Amino acid sequence: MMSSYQALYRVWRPQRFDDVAGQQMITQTLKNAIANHNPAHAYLLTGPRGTGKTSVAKIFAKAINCPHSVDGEPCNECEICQEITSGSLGDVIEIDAASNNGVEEIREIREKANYAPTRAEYKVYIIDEVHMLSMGAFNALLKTLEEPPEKVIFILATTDPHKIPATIISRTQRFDFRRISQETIIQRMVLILNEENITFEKEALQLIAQTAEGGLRDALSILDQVISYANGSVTQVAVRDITGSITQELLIEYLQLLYHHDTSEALQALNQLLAEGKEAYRFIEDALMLCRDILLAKAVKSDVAVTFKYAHHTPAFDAIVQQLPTNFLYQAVGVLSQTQKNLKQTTHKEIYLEVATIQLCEISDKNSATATPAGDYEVVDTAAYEEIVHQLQDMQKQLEQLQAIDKVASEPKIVEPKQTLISKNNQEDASVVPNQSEVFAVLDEATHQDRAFLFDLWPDFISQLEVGQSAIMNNGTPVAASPNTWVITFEYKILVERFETDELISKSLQQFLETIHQSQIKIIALTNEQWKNVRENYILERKKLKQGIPVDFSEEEKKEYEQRIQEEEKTKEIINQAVAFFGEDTVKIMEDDNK
Amino acid sequence: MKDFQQILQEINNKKVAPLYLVQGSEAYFIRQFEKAIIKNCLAPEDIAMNFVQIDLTEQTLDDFLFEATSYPFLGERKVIFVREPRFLTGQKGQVIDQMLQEKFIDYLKDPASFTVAIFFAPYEKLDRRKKLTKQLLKMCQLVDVTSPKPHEAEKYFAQYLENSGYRMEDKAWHLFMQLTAGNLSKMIHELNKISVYQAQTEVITLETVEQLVPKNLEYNVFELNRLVMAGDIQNALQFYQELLMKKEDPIKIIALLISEFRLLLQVKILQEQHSGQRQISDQLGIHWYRIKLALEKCSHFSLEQLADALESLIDVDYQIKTGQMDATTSFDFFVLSFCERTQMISN
Repeated sequence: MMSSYQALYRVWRPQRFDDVAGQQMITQTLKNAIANHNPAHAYLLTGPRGTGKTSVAKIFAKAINCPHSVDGEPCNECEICQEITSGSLGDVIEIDAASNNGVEEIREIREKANYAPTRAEYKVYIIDEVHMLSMGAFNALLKTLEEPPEKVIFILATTDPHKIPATIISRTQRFDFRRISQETIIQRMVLILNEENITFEKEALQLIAQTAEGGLRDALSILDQVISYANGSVTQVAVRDITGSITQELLIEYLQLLYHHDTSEALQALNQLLAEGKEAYRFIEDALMLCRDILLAKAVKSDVAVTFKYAHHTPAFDAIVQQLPTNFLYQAVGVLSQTQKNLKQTTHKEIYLEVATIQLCEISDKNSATATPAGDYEVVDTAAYEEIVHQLQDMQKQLEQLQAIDKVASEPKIVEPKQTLISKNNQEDASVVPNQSEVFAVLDEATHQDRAFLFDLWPDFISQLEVGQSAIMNNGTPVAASPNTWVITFEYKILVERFETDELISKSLQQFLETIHQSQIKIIALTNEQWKNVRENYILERKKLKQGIPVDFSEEEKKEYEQRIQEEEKTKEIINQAVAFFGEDTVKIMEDDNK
Repeated sequence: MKDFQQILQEINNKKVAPLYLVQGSEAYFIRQFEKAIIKNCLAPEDIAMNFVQIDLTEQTLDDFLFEATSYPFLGERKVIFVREPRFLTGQKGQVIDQMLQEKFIDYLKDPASFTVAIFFAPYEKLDRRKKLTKQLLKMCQLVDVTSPKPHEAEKYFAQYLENSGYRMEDKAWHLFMQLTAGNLSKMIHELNKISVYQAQTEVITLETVEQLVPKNLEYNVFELNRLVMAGDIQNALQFYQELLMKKEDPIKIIALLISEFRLLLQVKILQEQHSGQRQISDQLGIHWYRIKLALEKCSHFSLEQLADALESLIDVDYQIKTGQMDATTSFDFFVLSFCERTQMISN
């Protein structure tokens, strides 16, 4: 004959007040009430799940009815105790309010409560999950609590005291059960495992206690699963497998790779984890929790293992606590939680994880401490940088493709990077001056006389233009002049373009100049920004010239010069791309001093 | 007008009026009054037969008049508790027709000598313009059981505590008052529970109060704030976790925490303007003891740090509400970074 299997938490459900873990004061008060024959008419037991509410209620029902009770504890041996334990005594009624939440059920209780108990001394109603009662049912219950019949005791249990009307609460004696501490849970598990002759690893129990979050029943359920999964021994690996979380060693290794900017290894480690069937969301969650625990361990010097949500103390953990700077961790948290959010919206979780991994590899620890998770990134090495840009471009393409597929399934989404790219291209950079060498030539030959002449003529010139043209030219300011070329500036690029394309202006200008000046004059138009840059460049150039470089631009120099401009333009392009990928706020442009 | 204690005294001296109107909602007083009436008007064996309760949400004034005018069974007297007499208030719902009104007024003018009728009106206000209300107020003994003001309740309870033979440690007293929030019934209710726990010991300790008196969310947030301000990261995080497990709403917790930090900032600003504790209390309209605690809490922090904390918390709130971070993570990182920053500066 096979005996039916009973779950651990049922086998080990406490049968005496003193066996209840972690609620000494509450059990003491109840014991006193029974020993002094002074029970309240109604009790309200509240607290998180698995903290002993229902157990206490049942013990109470036994203790108050047990004819052999000593100091408020039940004997657990007499007929009455045993019948209550098995749930067969008619005077102790257990009701699950989750499934009996109507007025009718409570009315029935009200009526039956008026009959005296048959065998026991007190009739005890245990109403579990009492917060599930409907409003009408609460009112019906209230009536009973207002005028409680003799020898009837109500014990209401709930995890959700906020949902109980104040009128009910004020008629009951309320006890708030506390979350059971990790140590107490571990102690309890050790006790059970020793009794059952099962071997275990201490870390495994700690992991279980962490996952159970203060609920003893949860802890025992996990323990139960682990025992049957791992064939009768409780190991750390088995617990991680059951709870689906990722082993600490692997995560620490992953974090270390990120910190050392080892992108390819980190990606490999990630893929390996995913290949093992770990869930992407769980991975991010665990990584976040590990970062949190490391930060916690860094901030609090004393032993903090009890507050850990994920980690446990190992040499590797202690080492990484020493190694990783706070700043790195906060930034990692920023990236991770952003990814966590994104994961909820996509069907291609791996891609997001990979992008996150690359992003995380780029976190620099050299930044000054910023507490904002989304910190600044700086470009360290141009070659590596270009490589990354390349990688990211590939990634982006993939993402775009995938998102295009996603679009069919889910709602359309705008690809942000692309958008920024377009807007950046529209806005040409001010430091790039297309006709810089021409301007330089003008500046070389510029004289005060010519400038004064230009300033003189300018108002006359504008006044004889047509309305449309003078409106444009009014925005221009003459800034420099040589005998045959003038330089004028405009505030905005668009005006420069208008000037350059408007034939009427150039035509009337030629006419005007021919009548007054009798010579051909060319006009170069620049934006204010450009002019500023050109002037600075020119001054720099002049300084160099003074140091012995020939005054005139030879062909060679001109070439060199153009090359430099080209190079600069290339850098600009790179920066533009970087901005497009990471957003303007995250990109900080720094001069490379080694050049 | 006679006060509550005088009326109780009279009843205990067997001077009982035929009509009472008990107005107010202080449960402890109501209970005391009920007990006194039953004890002095009915012999224990008569209670089953001659004690009647009429609930006007289910029964009518007609039922009351019938009971009031019919002779008691065997005993000398009959006691009728009338619940929910909403017709005395401005509330709508209980309509009494003209005939019945007149019958009722006739009874009020000449109540039966063998009946003691008590109308329990746990309402803020009665509508004194109504004919029935006017008549009842004229003919009955009014019993005022409105809730005492918090400081009166404290005083009353101090007396009660002494009479019950208990003493409380100073800290226990402050915590007890904080948790019961000036509600006399609650104070007595909780003391009863404590007295079951320690029937023999006279002094009630802080630990007892802490463990046995249920805590409301306001208090819990206050405590959470204290832990954060003390830089006790470990306990702060654990405490927050516990609140979540009690199914408190994280957004609610953060909102209350924000108001707590706001108070600290206000106190700090006023303090830097050289306002004293009393002055701040008056200016903000908040109990002086809370101000005292706030001053203690924020003494180690600069105005900037407090403002910074408030801002980060508002940010946490935003992040939770926009779904950028889940509630646990964002709070944890707030505490970690706040403690790190404040310690960095103070070191």
